[in-house]
Amino acid sequence: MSEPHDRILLVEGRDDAEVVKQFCNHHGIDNRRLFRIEVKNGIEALLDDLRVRPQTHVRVLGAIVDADTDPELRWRQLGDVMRRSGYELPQRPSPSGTYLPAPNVFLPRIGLWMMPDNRVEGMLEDFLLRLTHDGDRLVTRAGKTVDDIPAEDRRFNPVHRSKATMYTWLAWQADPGTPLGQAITKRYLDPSRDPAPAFRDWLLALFTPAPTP
Amino acid sequence: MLESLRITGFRAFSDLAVERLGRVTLVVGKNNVGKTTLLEAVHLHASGPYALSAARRILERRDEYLVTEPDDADKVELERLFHRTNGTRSDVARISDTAGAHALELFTNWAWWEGEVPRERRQGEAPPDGVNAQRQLIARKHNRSGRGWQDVWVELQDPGGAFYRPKQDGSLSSLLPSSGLRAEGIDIADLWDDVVLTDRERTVVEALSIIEPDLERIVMVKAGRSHRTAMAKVKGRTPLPLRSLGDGMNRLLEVALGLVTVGEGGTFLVDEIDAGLHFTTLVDVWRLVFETAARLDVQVIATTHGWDCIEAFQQAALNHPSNGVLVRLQRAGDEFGSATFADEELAIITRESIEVR
Repeated sequence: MSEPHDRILLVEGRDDAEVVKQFCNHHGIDNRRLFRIEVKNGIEALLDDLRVRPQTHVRVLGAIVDADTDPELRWRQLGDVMRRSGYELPQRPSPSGTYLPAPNVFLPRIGLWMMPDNRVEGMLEDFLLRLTHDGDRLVTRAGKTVDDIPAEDRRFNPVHRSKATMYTWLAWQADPGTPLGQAITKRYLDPSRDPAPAFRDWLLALFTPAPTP
Repeated sequence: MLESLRITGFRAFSDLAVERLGRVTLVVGKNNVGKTTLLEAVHLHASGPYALSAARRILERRDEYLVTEPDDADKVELERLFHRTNGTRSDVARISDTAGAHALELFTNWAWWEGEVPRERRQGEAPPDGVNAQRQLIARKHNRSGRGWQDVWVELQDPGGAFYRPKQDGSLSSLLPSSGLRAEGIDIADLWDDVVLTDRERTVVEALSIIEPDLERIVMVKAGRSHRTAMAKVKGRTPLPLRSLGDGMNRLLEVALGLVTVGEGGTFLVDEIDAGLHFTTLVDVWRLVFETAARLDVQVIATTHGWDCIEAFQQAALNHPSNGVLVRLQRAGDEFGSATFADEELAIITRESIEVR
């Protein structure tokens, strides 16, 4: 069966798409049957897309965005673009992922997930760092290694600390250089740890078709 | 130029609003979402004093003009112009902008004479017994000034059941159906006579050059048939029938001729503009439509269900200063809705490869 054209999940980049696919695979979710992933080139492109996409033929629309350094700002930006189509966002995101009902018969149901957990600042890599196994000493060490780099030698934006940590940690696994998504398949990460179950439930509740009456 | 559109009580539309129309507007959507009906409504609106003959053509075009029972002649035809909800038909079909201005209204009534005095009754009430009442279809349009109604155009049915048909010449609206102009009883050669030896002839030849870059001239010749046909002179070749240059040639000729002959300030409506056109020509076709529409002050509204045509439209719209609007029609049961995309949103759709169908 081909991927549905009217149930779409927008993500900020290839890594996000890969993680979602491997995550679904791990949980036995047939993502290719439930929704089609569309990779945008960053948050600005994703916000632009969200501004017009509800006005198209899509029936269910999901979006995964990074909270980055200012979750409140990101939420306001989402509210601004969604208002164009007549959606009103709640004051703040629901910790279990936000659902917006369709304002009329022509508009889709919408789901929003703000990485890592709809509460705090951060991004996809913060979500993944929380899935590392209990007592994984390499996580602490990777974080410390990154933090120990003198400021003048640091080439990455402070916003990307978790990203630097995540890739440092990945470099030290049995198969160094494993891509983010495959860290789940190779069981370096444990997708049953928080906030993964909430994320899984959000995806399923959003995209599982309602039983026909 | 109509900047927005609201249609109530007309055919399939109980109430449809389109927030924005452009200099050039492309209407898209699945089958049966009312694309053609939207064109028909705008055509009526833009036809002004010719609205009633335009209405009649709409019914003829859809084969809804044919009647079997002479007594029902008026009912069968006229009723089809009006929207029906649960068996009840709307009293008035209304076409205006979203603010309700520039409205055209269609309604029917009964008219009869009492001696020298004309009498009439609105639709829904039967005429009194014993009078020889006739059914009328009436179109009236709001004054430009916005004060009251001007011109009531009455089209009476003659006793034989045929409509009086006012001359079509002078209407500032023309509708090109997907089946082409010949099916409309319009001779392309007559339109050609209007443009030959003018700047507009050059525009038409330029349009056809999209398909045949070496085209030099078009001539209409009578070659032993009842009507004249288009012959083309292509560089380095003997004259040959235009038709032989490919399927798209006739369509393109009709699109270009329609566009340049509708008149300044007029409205040109094209159903399935890309019918018969190869997808590689579509960007150039749209570019020409944008340029010509702006130069001749014509408003163009076209439909398509082809994705290539939509993409080509977006590309041409983004590269032309006059505003292009993409309208998506949608339907849920008996309810119709629309979404409009212009300016920055049109750019987003193109940039992000968002499918609007």
